Amino acid sequence: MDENNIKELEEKIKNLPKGKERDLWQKVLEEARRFEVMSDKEIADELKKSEEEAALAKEQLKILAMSEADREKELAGVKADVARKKEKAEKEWEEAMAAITPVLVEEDVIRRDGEARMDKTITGTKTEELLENLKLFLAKKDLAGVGAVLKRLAVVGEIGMILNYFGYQSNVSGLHQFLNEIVIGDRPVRGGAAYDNLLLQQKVYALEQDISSLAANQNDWTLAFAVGRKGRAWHELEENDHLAAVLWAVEKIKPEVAARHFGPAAYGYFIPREKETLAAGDFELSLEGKLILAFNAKIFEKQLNEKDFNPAAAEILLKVENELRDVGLPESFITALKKYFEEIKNKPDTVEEVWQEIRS
Amino acid sequence: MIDLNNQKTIEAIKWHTGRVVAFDLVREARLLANFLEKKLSSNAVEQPEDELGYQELLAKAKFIALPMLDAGEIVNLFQENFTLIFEMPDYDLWKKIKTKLIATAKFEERDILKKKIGAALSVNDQSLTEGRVVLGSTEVRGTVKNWLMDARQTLGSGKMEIVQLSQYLINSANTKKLSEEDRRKVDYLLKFYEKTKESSIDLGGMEEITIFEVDGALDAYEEGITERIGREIKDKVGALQGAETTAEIKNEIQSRYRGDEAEEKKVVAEMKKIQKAAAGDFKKMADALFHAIPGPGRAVDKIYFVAILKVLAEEGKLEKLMEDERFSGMVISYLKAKEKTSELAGFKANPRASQYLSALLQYLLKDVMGMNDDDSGRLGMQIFNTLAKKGAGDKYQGVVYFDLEKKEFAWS
Repeated sequence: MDENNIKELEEKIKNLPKGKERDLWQKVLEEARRFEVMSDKEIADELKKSEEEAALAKEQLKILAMSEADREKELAGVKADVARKKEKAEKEWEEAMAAITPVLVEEDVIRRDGEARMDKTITGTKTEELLENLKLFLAKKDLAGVGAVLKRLAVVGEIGMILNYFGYQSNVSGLHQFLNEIVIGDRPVRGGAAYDNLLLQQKVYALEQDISSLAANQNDWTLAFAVGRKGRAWHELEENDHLAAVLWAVEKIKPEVAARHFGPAAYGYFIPREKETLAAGDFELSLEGKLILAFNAKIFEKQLNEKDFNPAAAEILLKVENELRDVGLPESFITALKKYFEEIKNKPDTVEEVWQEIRS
Repeated sequence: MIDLNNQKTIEAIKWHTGRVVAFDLVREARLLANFLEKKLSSNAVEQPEDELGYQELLAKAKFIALPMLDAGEIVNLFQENFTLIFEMPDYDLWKKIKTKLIATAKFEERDILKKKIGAALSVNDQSLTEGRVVLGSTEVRGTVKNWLMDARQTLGSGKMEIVQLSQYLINSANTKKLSEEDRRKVDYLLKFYEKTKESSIDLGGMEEITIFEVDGALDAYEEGITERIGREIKDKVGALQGAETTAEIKNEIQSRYRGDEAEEKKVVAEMKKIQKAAAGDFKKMADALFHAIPGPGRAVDKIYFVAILKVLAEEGKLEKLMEDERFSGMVISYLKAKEKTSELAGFKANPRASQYLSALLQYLLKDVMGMNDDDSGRLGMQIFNTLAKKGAGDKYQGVVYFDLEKKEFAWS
């Protein structure tokens, strides 16, 4: 590929009306520009990344080197090929799904038995100790052990911290990624068949439902309602469905109780600063958090003024003061938040001293 | 090292316990419980009354940290301290137990824990009510175990139906004389005890909320009950994700909620006249409403009709219409017309449940007065808001909602 190809592409895109075809060619152009500035080694490394990506990149390079007529023809062929592969993959998925469905209930019982057995082998109760257990189970690719320890962490509301430790955000998307990349990861599957992959995925989704349910019960809304079911099979809930489920659950809670009981994880999630540390990351308001705040602003402000608001939530919300304004919360809310935080910071000496001893 | 016998320390520990209870601080509660348990077992407290006070604080901390306790500790808590939960505002015991159960992998083990909790309650000797209980021919204290025994003797030991339970709470010889507060406690105990009888293997005992996608809609399934996750929630999400700001949404809703200013003024004027004429007499108001229903020789007077409904709401007497056969008959007809005959039994058992007043208002405003969903919904929301202020709290929350996509009110 040379500069002429890129110019030719730019010219072609200029003349195309806005729409899907133009978007497609725009993507081809972006790829071409990316490859243009890369060294041969970088291109080689890129190509090694995965067979799928490499095949795609090769195809793109090949297509770009063609004349326009050949390119159109080739593209039509590629599209047909993609459609065929997609159809084949969907058929395989459906067949495998039909095959695993009858055993899902039985497999769930086996999973639960395994978790109960492994739970008895967990040593320690502190987060650091549970993390060590988790690492050992992950190293042994012991799904039952991983499930057991993750549930222990979920009960103490520390799944978010663990997600941060592994470099993921402490929300549903981070949970999906952690389970897919770390728990499932490159686990060898018997024969590599779709059946085994799907069965493993379903087991992990079932575990995710447990973790997510525990989060929901503790008002950790950013981790709640991660998965849903169609028939017997689990799947990741789309963002809007997760949000709808969260808001449905939150609406059942009196706003005054929400003000008191909702901690930081009800309003947002933490983005890890670095991996392999249990230190808190940076807090970000979640969409569900914004909605909860927006729809309850008046009552929450009243609770703040009455010093009847969750202290940890107040502290964390102050860190995203400007985002609160963007949500549309009035200045009086921010003022109430600041005043409340100042008041709760100053505890009598004995109270503080006693707490230090309790913590130790 | 702090001295647990020092008055300042006692106050500080009370302060921390109050804080973990008020804000449901689970981890802090566990730390506090561990600390107190260790100190109390080492006889660090000299005065028996201080010891008792600390034991109570310990139990409260344990109730907050309940999902982190082992089964033995939980059972002990139910046997010795169950009634403490009535001193913990907003405490949701069942939610705590559910968290523990969800964390228990095997359903069989969940059932064992529930059975043990039920058994612990059956031997709990704490006083639940001030009112006493007559068991057979003996009058005994109103303890947890005695109330459970009375309920079992009256209702049998099988599964208790809600209707039976309601009958028991109102009409049984022992409950008749109870104060409202005591009756509420017995109600709570019996409903909680019933839940411990449900097996986690059965659909009715499933502790987790499962979201199902059914024909493009979302259903939430929990403990044998399916609820559709309403599209109004999806609309809220869509609205915030879109270009509209929260303030704009609120303004839109408020403006639509207020309705036509001139018409509203007429309604208020009419309300004053009705209030003066009826002087708080429910029968007069109910008669006026019934006779305002358009029919042969009776023209439609929307202002007057709406004004009576609003007066009934203002005076906290709207729900009383359910006791008037003319109006309860309308609810029955409405439910039948909407093919909701399965709800008829529920209506008979609990006519004041929110869905039945919703049915009556929909019938009166839409079917009788010919209003559309938007107008009737707007008035419905105004009426429900009045009821909320008059003591109904959030009972009617969500019965009417504002559909952000259509920009109009709708009945759920």
